[in-house]
Amino acid sequence: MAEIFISAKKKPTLRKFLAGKLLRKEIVLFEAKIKKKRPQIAKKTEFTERQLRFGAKKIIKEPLHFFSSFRKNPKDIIFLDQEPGEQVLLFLRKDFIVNIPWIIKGIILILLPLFMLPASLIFKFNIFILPVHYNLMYILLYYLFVATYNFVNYITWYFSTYLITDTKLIEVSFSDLIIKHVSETKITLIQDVSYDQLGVVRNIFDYGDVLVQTAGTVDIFTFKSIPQPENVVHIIESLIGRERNV
Amino acid sequence: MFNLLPIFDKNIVLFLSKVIFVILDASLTVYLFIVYKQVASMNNIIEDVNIAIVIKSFAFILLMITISLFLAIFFIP
Repeated sequence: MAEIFISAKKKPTLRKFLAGKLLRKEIVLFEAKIKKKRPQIAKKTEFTERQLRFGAKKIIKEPLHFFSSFRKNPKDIIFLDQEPGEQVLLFLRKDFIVNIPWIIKGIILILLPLFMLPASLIFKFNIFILPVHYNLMYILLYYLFVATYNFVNYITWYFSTYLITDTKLIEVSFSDLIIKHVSETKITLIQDVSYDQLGVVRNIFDYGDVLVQTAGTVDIFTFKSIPQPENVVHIIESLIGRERNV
Repeated sequence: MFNLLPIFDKNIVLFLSKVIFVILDASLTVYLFIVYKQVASMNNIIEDVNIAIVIKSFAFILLMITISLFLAIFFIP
């Protein structure tokens, strides 16, 4: 507005329009332009805030691999009761380091038959008491047991997942092949979020438990041994903040 | 060959080893069948489209090998 008045004073031809309707119209149009521009700026800042928070709008979806335990905006994840348009913001599993004990046991079990032949020579006992094809069948069966042991441990880890979507938290527990537990809570019901990182190993490898206190039927959600617990707490807190601001 | 079991006849030892093998293999088959069913049901709850098929296939392959081993033992003389 000020610019228009100054320009009108500088140019005498424009003085005619000072009291006229034309200038009023121009001012109205000018104000309307400002009003139109303001929401655009607001939208832009809102967009960047969201991007900074958890990349909700900036969807660069990353694919999961066989040992993924922490992934923002995961690609190709489908879960039961997924609402249309519901986006998975964070995908979590227990940190891969928790698999080390069974991996070591698995390797020992794989290598064990290789040490049987030297052991039989040293301690002088005969391991080939059966015909060759029987031995081969037993060795094959043994390796099937080992493969099953490793596979069951792997899928127990693989299917125990935690999902954080834009509206809820989902916990899928899977253990001993017969225990399946799925629980979920809405973001709006979350009251408090905290995390524990107890022990040297957990601090070195940066994993721990995240405790989510809710007002729902499930009092406390525990995300056990997940990587980057501090980061996860920040993400959940920002989600709670957004929901409350809305 | 049968130094450790001198009191048993060769045929009895072979028969017993077959029986033990069948029991072990049958239990592994049942276990793997449960694993396969569980993998399929877990894929309904949560599914990573690219990896789920690989895991399910691996469970199926393990099951098939175990069943073929179960059948193969009856053809061994």
